[in-house]
Amino acid sequence: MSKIQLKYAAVEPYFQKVNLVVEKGASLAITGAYRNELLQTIGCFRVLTNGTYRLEYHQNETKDVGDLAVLRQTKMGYLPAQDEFLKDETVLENIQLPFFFQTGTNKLPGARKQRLDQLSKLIGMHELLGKKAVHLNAFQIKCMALIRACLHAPSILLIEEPEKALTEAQLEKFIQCLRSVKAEGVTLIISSENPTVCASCQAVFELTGEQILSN
Amino acid sequence: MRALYILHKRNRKWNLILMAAALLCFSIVYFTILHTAYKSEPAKGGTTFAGQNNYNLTLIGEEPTIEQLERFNQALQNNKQLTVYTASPIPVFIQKFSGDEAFTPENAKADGQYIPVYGLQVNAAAQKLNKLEMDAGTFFKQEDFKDYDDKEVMPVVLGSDYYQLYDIGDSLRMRIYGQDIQAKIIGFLKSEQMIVTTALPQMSAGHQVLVPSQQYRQTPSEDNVFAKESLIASANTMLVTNASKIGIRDIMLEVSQQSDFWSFTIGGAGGITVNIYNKILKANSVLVYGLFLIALVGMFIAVQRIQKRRNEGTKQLFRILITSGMAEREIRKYIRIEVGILLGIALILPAIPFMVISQFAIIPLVLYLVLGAMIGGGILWRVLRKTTIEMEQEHV
Repeated sequence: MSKIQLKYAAVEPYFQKVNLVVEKGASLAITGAYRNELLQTIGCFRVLTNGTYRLEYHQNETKDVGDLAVLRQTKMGYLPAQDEFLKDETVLENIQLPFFFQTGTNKLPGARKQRLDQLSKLIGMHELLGKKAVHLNAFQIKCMALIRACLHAPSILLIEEPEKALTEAQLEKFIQCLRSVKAEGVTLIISSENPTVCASCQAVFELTGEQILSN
Repeated sequence: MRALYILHKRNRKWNLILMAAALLCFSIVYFTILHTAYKSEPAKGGTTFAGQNNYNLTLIGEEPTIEQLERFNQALQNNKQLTVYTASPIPVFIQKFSGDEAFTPENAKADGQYIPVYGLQVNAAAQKLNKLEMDAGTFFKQEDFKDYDDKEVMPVVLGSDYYQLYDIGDSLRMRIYGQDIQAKIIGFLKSEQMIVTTALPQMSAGHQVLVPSQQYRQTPSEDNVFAKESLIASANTMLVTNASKIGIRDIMLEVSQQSDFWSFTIGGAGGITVNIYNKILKANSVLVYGLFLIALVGMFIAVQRIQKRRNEGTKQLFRILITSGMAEREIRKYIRIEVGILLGIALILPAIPFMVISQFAIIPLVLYLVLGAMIGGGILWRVLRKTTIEMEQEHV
């Protein structure tokens, strides 16, 4: 069974001696100091200074984040805490643009288009695809980012602090959207201090004590 | 293409500014190269004649005095860098001429017993350069090119079509510019002889009466119409020379300074493009090279400033792309293409007008493209270097 495995993982100056296993299809909340940095390490934005990181068949031995980016492109979807979008482009354009840059093509292929349709209907954004992103509220922006992150059908979805910029009600709605996506068999890893978010996950991993390197 | 368009849209304004700055820089580079390269590759000439460049000299403005004309003609004749070629149409009338209408110019009217015929005033260069051949008799000798009045007999050479009307040695009573002249036929041109004139590149000489151009030993009086018109016909002439379009302007400047006569144009060496090219070549070298250095330094400073603004415009886009799994080096590839296209356009655009101005001189163009590509490469390197720094700061 493919999974994510961190063994004595360390990223200076943030954390060390992290042992973590996430099974395929599970949902995990990461809490504590430097939770985002740990999530970013799993998301291949940071290189380990010590320990090992296994993702399915891949053992992270490279020290080049450029090489690691390929894993993110093929296997992961990532939602950063700070939502990034191009205000003057439409929702559809915002969702599609990473694909255009990665492939150099001018159009989404049929299968990808279908997936986009399916996801936008599932998350309730289908009617807003033609709208300019500047007119969206915080929840809609989050959903747009979620569709973008899931467009290539990743097996792992990583989300940084989804509660940021959302009201309690919007957060509940967003968690519902995450559940719909998880139903496809996606492994969900969320960094958060929010009790509602942590309660929605099957497991919680807290960075504590000697795992946290002093500043 | 779509990705490039999205990237360009983020910084449309700053991209245009970058392109405009590069366009200005490259224009100054080409300007400097033209200014420098002239010494090794002079500009081409105008149309050619007898293997040399050929320019038409035309008097303009107020009618000059005889003294001015004489000084000007003298200065032209004395200049070793050019050959003054005279084959100018003039009005010639022959008394009691019995030839048919083929010999008479259109719309020319008889003056009593004097019938108008086609006439050409020629100098020694006309025979040499046209390789005029005689069917009978001889062409003008050097001593024949002098001033004539009604007391002296002027030798004339006739076209081959006159052969049925006259013989060698026959006398003619002619009127030229109102002056009655006693003429004697000394030769007939070969049949089918062509001659280049100021009016036509090739004219059949069959019906022509050739008279020698006048060389005055003393300045004629101002009221001598024949002398004046003859000198004007000599001044509206062709200059045959190896000089380029720029070179002939320098030669005629010398002639003007010697004769204090400036009222003429040089056909084939004028026009806006030649004027501009002349200005480029004659520009102050210190200023030109100084401008070149300022352009280079200014461009690199401009790139620093502009790239700062471009980075702000692409910050969010790059964050989205990195989050989605694109490596920095792949993003840099798009920037390289984007900026490369902008610089490519800025490099090619000035080449077109400068090529026209330099009369399509190849060596300066090649030098410009090579130097321009090197400068463009330097600009691109600087842009990529600055972009990299900014992306690292934005890295998650």
